[in-house]
Amino acid sequence: MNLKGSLPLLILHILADGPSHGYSIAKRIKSTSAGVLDFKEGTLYPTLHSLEKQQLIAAFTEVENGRERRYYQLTDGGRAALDAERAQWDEYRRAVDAVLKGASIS
Amino acid sequence: MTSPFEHWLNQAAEGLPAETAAAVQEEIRAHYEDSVRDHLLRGLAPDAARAAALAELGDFEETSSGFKQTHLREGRYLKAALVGMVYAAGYLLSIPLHQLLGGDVQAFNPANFLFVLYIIHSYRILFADRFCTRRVDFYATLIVRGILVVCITRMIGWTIFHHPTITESASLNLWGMASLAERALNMISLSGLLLVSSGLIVLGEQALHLHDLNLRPLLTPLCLVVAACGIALSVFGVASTYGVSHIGLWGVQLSALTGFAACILWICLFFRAGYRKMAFAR
Repeated sequence: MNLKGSLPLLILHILADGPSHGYSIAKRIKSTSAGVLDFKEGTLYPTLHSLEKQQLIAAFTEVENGRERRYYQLTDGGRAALDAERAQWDEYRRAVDAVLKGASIS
Repeated sequence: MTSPFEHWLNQAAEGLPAETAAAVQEEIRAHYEDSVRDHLLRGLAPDAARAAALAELGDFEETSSGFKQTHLREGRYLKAALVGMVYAAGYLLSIPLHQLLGGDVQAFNPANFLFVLYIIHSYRILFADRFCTRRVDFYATLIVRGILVVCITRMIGWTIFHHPTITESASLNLWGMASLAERALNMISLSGLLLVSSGLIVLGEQALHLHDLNLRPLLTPLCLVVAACGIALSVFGVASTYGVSHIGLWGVQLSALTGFAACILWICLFFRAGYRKMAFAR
């Protein structure tokens, strides 16, 4: 399923639980959605970097198995953006549900 | 021989500044190695695990395009603003220089000076074009490219008229035939430039992630002023064509000043964004 528009929301949501790196974020999206939200993992990184530029997430490095790893964490701005995005998503979902229910009745 | 993954990595980071490219490659390499390890743990053979991890990364072109959007647009925006400022300053300077030294060809050749300005102008529009291609849509890009064609046409025309092999009378005849077209092209180019400047102010806010500063109430009237100057310039151009040359000259100076102000605004936006980033890092 194409999740180009909703990828930032999913990333912010996952980082709300704590810092994480790209691979872990990708796996969590795929496993939590039971593979339905399958996306090209390479596209995750431009989205992460874009969120970082917007200061919605912040990056830091940690040494893991002798190798530097780039982790991301949510900023205060990111938390506010997540709330706003969630509200928008709920509104969108309700609107689509309303149309689909209307269509199935008629 | 480069492995398929290294090839993918090089392509994905192509065109990025060296430091950014190295960081991006390091990050994706760690991702790939984790992915290969997980596939091996699931029982895949090493070759199959590497192929599966690479397939999961997807198309390198999509990733590369995403990185360019994220990492190059600010630089492009600054280049467009800086080149624009050089152009506008050059244009403003050309008028007093022409008045002071215009008669002395040894000291100042307005033809050469304007030719250089045309090159800077084209360069600026080219940056605007690259910026629009990434940020707006097909129609915005088409408009900017149209202005670029007009500008290059003027530059070629100027070169022909001022080439040493063209005699003065031939040049005057050519000039007489083409002056109307030249003036029209000049005005389209300048007014178009201001319209592009106006659009770039709004795009700057988006490109530099300044939405939350709520600059729109300030930027919108400024854009309208710049765009209005573009339209006014076309009117001055018509006045100039019908012999009211001082109005035309005043229009050109006004356009240069407005363009200059727009460029200063772009640069202020850019450094405002940089300052925020530094403050955030602290």
